[in-house]
Amino acid sequence: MFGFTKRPLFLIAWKNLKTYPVRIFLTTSSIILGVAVIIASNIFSESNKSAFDNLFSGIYEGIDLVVQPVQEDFAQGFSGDGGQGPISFEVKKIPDEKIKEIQDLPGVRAAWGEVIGFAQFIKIVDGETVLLSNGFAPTFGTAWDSSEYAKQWTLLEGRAPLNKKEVVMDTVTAENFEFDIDDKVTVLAGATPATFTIVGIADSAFAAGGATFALFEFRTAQQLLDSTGEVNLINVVVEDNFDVTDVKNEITDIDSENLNVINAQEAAAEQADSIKQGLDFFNTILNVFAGIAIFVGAFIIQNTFRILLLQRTKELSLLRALGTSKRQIYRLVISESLFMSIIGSGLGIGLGIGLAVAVKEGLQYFELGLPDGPLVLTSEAAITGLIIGITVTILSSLLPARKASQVSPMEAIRDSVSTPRRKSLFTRLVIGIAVSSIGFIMLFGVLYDFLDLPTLSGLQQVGFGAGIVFVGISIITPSITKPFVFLFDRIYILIFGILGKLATENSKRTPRRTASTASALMIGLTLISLANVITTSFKAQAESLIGEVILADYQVGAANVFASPGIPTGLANELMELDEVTKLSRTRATVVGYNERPLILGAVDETVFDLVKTDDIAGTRKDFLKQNALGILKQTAEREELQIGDEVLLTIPEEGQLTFTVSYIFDWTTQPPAEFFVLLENSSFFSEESLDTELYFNVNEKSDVLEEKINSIVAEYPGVEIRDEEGLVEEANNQIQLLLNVIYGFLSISIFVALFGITNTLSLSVYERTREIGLMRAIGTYRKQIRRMIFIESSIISIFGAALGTGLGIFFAWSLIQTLADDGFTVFAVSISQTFMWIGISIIAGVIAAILPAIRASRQNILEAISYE
Amino acid sequence: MSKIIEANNLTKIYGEKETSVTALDDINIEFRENEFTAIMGPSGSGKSTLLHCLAGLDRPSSGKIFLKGNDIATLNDKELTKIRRDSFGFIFQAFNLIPTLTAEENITLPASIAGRQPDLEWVKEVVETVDIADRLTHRPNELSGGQQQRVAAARAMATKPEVIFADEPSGNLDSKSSRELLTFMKSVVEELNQTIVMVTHDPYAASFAGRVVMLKDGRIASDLEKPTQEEIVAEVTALTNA
Ligand SMILES: Nc1ncnc2c1ncn2[C@@H]1O[C@H](COP(=O)(O)OP(=O)(O)O)[C@@H](O)[C@H]1O
Ligand SMILES: [Mg+2]
Repeated sequence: MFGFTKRPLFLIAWKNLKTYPVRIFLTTSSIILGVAVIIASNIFSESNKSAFDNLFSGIYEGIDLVVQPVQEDFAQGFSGDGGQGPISFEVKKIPDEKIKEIQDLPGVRAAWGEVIGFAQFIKIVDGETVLLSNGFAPTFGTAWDSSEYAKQWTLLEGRAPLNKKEVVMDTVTAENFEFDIDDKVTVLAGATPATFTIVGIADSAFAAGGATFALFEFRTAQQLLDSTGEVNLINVVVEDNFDVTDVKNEITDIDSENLNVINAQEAAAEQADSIKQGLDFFNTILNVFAGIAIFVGAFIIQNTFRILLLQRTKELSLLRALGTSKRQIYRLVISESLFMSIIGSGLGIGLGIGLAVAVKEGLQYFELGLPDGPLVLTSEAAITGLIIGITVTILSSLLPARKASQVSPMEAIRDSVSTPRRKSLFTRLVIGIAVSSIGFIMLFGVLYDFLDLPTLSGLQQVGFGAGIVFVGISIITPSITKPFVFLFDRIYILIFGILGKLATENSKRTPRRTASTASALMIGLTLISLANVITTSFKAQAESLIGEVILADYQVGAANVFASPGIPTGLANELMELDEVTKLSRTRATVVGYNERPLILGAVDETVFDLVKTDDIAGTRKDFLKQNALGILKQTAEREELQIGDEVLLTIPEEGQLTFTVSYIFDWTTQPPAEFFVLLENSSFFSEESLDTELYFNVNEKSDVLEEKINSIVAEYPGVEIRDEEGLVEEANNQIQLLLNVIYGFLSISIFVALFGITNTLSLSVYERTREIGLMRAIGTYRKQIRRMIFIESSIISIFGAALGTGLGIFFAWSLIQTLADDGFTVFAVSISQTFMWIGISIIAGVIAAILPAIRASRQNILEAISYE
Repeated sequence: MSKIIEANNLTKIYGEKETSVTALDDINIEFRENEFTAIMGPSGSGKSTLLHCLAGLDRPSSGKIFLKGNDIATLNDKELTKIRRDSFGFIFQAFNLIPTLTAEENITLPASIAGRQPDLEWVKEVVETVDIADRLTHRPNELSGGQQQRVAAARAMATKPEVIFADEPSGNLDSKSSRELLTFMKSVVEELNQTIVMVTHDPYAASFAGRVVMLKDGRIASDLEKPTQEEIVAEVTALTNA
């Protein structure tokens, strides 16, 4: 079948593998996992890429040109570029008349307007308002397609909306929140919620990302979405016999200053591309994790090979005695590893496909809607996985193969499986210390400013230094196994008695093996504790920052800034009427013109300076109280080159031009709500109907009763959310923790891989001690006690690896944070509970890894062990 | 003298039907308190098998084994392990000691795994009798073969067992060490009132025992009380030629 029959060694290799399937599994487990992660991440990103391609071509299906209004740079915040700083609420639109104008151009078959704004479905459950959304995805309102050429939305059920009281809902939302045709639903668009009847359920590529959509009759949409007489964009279909570019130019000519025409198909490709880049980045991260798993895997393969070959010393030496050359033995081992690597990589690819399916199902289950589509496995990915798997396995088997080929023919006759004495660990210690010293010097050189390597940034130097320290420590580990275990000796003997003694002695007996097994675990734990400390520090930093800058007990804002433009002023009044509320500040904002550009002008109560941390740069808050006084942000003052006393002319909507005097320049330490500020009292041009953007307030004493009272008041205002300091901290923490959990998830793969290493090492340890364990059983040791002994031994390995890894990780994190101190990272915090949780997990993993060897040891036949022939 | 251990109709068959070997064939034998018995016989006659069955290391195919009147052939592994630990002592031909433990730790090992404090007075007496007091802190690889076997003997006695089982204890020793060990074993029976069952193929070793049981093909061929070495040699020769 293999055509190798003329080559007996290949046959032996193949037979060996067929006889010991478990062996293949143990050896290649790490390769299987590593390859699986590579394949899965690749499938995942490839499939999403093709799904995004479909999505964008779906969005622009049947459309040739899209006419957009030219936006002021400053309003970019809204269109998704998401720059820092306050966002303008004024988005340019296109007047309705332009649709007609475009329609009348030669070569235009159809042109229709699209209206898009923010609308939020609301459900009242037990008197409480619930905002309906799919995860973090936005909530949109739009007009039902007004042209027969529009293909963006497909009705699944019911009909199109025909009047002011009707709405069509996207199918995902309808399904998730159990809505049906003829149900009533409340929609918040603008400030006041209104109730509609659902007349249709529709689907679109737009909804693939999980956004919710409320589709209204065209005029109704314009009204609700603050676009009366206007549209956000115009879709154009070009006649077949006309050139798209010609028509494009024609449309641009209508009003090149205000209209921007883009080719829809090009846009589809561009937008898909930019998302693909994001996916590629994600894929790279996944591949890094796969790389870690494979790196750990290489350690383990090497170890396992050595172990397996040691167990077969007799067989190999018999082959030698029968006249097989060293070279042939070497080839025998390599061909075994080749078979194993092929099988392992193959299994890895299979597992990877399974993993991708599982991840996809999982994401769908949690409604983190990614676009639908089939899973794609590219042949490049499969081949890459195969090559990596095979190469790593074969490279890892080279050294053990060499060792095996050196077995003497005499070994077969001797009765011993004991390992020959190896070189002393002293040389290793010296090399390890030398290497890690270099790393330490690089690292501390940056921290204590005595060494600055050219071409490396401080952070890079610390990073490389840490890497070198890690390698150095890995070299040292076998030499410090004994001292480390010695530390544990007493404790273990105290707790476990003679079994503890036996277990610790065993770990000391083969320090190299103990160390290399522990190293695999060390890698994972280093990364885990690094991630743990960094994120814990960030959390602590965020906490102290939030505590510093938010002085108010409570903050009120829009739950979803996109869905609601603001807070009805009634809320502030109601809150102020409460006796418990001691201080409250309102913030309003409007877009004004300054130097022919739009800018956000905020109106605040004086109390805001007590409730939000601001720093005086020039002038004082007293100066700000005067009529026509203007407060400005530090960065705005710098950009506009404004100083105290300067006159500023602002164009205010529905008011005309007003002159102000710069009287206060300050730093708003959180996200500022505006760039220019006036006192609300002095600003008659903020009419009573205008909305508050933010409220801050203090209470005399926090209590659950009061909180309930406040919450019930706030609950009357849909789309408004109240947070206290804890809430803000919690929000920040949740986001960091979510990220950390993802990292943990990936890193636990490396722990999983390390687990196999422990199993292998213990199996060998048990095998080598066949006689010893038999003797112990003969003189009256219970099976249970033998098992316990193996478990204890395993715990030593895992504690060793976990302790080293945790220590290194914390140290690396500390160095990193020290390096970043100049960038404002000042807090170094270690989560003790998570640290111990991971050490605990490692120990448990170690014990799990010991189950098989322990059972094998306890079942060992006593007579075989003690018989002597 | 009262019986300590007794085998009734003890049969041990290895393997399946066609290829089966009857190692012990319906053996009835008893061992009395404070007796030093040697079990002899040609190679393959079933000596080790008998010892293993008596000592609870192997299970008979049929028959009963009574330890002070209690049948131990039907006990489960845990109960049997406990009996080996508390009631029996063992000296094997080789690999008697745990290499990572010192001589002293090896001697007290059965007590340690039982979670008991060893009887230090007694251990001291035993250690002095076997003359290894100055070697207690050494590991097995730092001891000579004879010393290792004496440590094993001390371990076998440390828990004051009902019976000590020894399988070719002097098989790997030179004649001087061998004599020392056997002399010690004999004195243990005579002075410390222990009971020993020893398997050996060496007539010289057997001559230290007070009773010699000869096995052949899994059956008892003869049972001699206080034989001299010459009588033993004669019996062995007779058996081998028969
Ligand atoms: N585990 C075993 N499997 C099969 N046959 C065995 C086994 N152990 C011993 N025997 C057979 O049982 C017989 C008695 O063996 P043993 O008790 O070791 O003899 P002795 O110790 O007197 O040399 C021999 O024929 C031997 O081959
Ligand atoms: Mg024998």
